[in-house]
Amino acid sequence: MSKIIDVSTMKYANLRGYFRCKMAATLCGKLLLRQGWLPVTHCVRHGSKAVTRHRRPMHFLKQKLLALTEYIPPKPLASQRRVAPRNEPNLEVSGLVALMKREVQAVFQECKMIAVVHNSSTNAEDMLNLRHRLRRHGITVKFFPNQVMRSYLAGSQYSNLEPLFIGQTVLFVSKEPKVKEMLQTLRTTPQMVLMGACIENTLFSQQGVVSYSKLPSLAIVQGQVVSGLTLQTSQTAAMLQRHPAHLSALLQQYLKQKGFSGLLGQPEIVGFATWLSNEENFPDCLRFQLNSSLAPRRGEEKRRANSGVSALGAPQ
Amino acid sequence: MATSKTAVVLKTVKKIVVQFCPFEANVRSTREFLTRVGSEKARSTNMNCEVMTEVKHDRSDPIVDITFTDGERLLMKGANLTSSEMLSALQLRCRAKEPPTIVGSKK
Repeated sequence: MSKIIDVSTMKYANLRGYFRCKMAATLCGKLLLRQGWLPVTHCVRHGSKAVTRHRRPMHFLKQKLLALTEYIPPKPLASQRRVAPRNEPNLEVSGLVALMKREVQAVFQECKMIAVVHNSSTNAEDMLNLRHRLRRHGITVKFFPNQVMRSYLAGSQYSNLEPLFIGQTVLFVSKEPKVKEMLQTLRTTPQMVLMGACIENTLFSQQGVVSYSKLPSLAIVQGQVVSGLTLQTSQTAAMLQRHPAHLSALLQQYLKQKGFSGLLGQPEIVGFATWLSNEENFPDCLRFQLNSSLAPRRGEEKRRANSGVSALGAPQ
Repeated sequence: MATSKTAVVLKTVKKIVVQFCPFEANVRSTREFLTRVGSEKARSTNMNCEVMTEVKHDRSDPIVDITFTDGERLLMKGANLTSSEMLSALQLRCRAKEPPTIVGSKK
């Protein structure tokens, strides 16, 4: 208390007013001591001004009025209350989201290789290094918000990639599927975890990507397929020609051993040679072999003038 | 997030192996845990601690395997845990293993 008021010395009229004022002042903002008792006077002198820094206590009448006229919202009936889950209205997508969706669509259409990588917070320096290394091989690093990616993937054919996009994700996209280089670069940054990829419209898991990188190039694979197919046919052809080839080899050996000139006179050899050369479906190789072995001696044959030999020498 | 109490201190941890299958739906918490533990801040507390990630494709549950310096192993199956639960479990054990002399000297 700043000053001591000596009540005993005050005059009665002043006292009455003084006490009333005091009571009114204490009542302003406090509960009524006795029910039904209303303050008759509102103390203006000891009250605060209209605009105060503290919450100015309201006149009691005003308090009552406000309490009476408080707004009570109507409670809906039980039948009208919502039981089903509230369907959120489909808000129009903002322009930025639409733009990003179009970008994502373009990425999926253009690029053959799209890899999804989870990064557990790389710092800016590592990120720059990584980007530089990847750029050398033509791989771009793209960031898209997960919401946009998920909403795009839900509508496209790659919906199985949806669960990959949780948390911090980065996309490595490139027009050419340069998987080996990408894997090498990722090996150096342990924080980036490859989770899955979409290479040439096929979804791969991490193991799939690793095995894809180990595949030989397309030309080599094509060569392998062709060689495998021709192997079978060549084996069949070789098997068919084995017997005649064996026969011709034996005949050649025989001729060499006996000496060709000595044999020419022998009718059974000549007859057999004629029969061989006359066969309709005789394989060309055997005829060729016979011709080639007999060719240097053709001069001598003509001198002997043996019809079987000349028939043998002439091509059919 | 980065108050001293929630900061991840890996001083007593030797190795952390996080194994998950990204095409499953229950890996969110494990991936968040991996992000928190693999962050620069956490790794800077102990440069010898290895954080390894294995990505599988066999519909298995996500598992976090932590090996401490004194040989104890903590295995957490993250299918039904949240990342904060996993982190608090890890921090509890880390704090328990911290040598008490450090705490005494600070006081």
